Amino acid sequence: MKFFAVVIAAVALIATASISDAQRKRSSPFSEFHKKENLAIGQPAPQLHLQDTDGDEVNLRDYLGRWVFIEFGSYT
Amino acid sequence: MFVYTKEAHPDDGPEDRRKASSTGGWKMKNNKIKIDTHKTYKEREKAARDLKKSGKDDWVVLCDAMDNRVHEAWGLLPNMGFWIDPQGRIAHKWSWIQSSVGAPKNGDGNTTKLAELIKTAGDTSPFSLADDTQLPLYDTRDGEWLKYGEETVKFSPVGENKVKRGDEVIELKAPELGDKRAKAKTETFKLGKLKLPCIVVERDAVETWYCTRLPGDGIVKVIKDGEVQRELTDAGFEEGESCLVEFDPESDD
Repeated sequence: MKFFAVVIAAVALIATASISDAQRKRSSPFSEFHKKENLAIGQPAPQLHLQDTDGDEVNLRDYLGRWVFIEFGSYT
Repeated sequence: MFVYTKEAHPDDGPEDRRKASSTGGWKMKNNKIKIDTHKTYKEREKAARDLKKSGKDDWVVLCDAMDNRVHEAWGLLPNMGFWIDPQGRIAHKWSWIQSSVGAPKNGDGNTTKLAELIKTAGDTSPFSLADDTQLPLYDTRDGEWLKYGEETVKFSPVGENKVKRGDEVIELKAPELGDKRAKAKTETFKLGKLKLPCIVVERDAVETWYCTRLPGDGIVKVIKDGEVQRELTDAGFEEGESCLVEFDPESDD
């Protein structure tokens, strides 16, 4: 009886770990990125209105009519 | 265009990536470029300037706000990229691409795709502000003028609140302006270092300056009989702060 209880507990533990693993895979930032409806191909680009390195305002709307590549990141 | 946001691998970050906070990155063992986590916007600006000086002079480098709101709005991945079409829509995107910082490693295929897209983009002729259907185009229904800087654009009427420019039919947007006829042109409203593009509508001897980028009614100046009746004096953010701070132009604060 004690043996069966240990087996059941082990199975439950493995099942829980598998589910957590699956959830983790599903919710990775990269997979979430491709699921976001507002960032889907064909959607209007989100607002981008910031200052450049000279302190001048730049709005993505000012680039309407041109193809624009936008990269996000940092120096490191 | 490069949006400089939080450091992915700050020198003062934890070496264990699992200990990195949501607003900070983690330190790589062989960090060649040593920059600590930005504590102020000025520190982020300096890092962005250093990046631009490192051979990216032809890039427009923008600084995200300290709460990384633009980074968050666009997906929050550390090296994502977007290809935006002339209508301002997302035409292609990469969850990982390093075209501007260092040599691409696992992003080689992505930069190849980017090169193809740039090559096939074709004519990138300058865009006329008259193509911006978000501007409150007004009273062009009878073929009257609409002046954008040095350019004067004429429209021909094709129906109620609709005009035609070339083969394109444009629905006029300006319900808040009422039914009265008015003339419109564009001007730049200067407020300290800020330059706000405005459309200026003249009606019944009243000249109203609208800036469509501002929340609220967007009115930055009203001139009646040649005298300024109302003028925006505070954009709601100080030099060095993010220009994304929302404000109410009607507020006294």
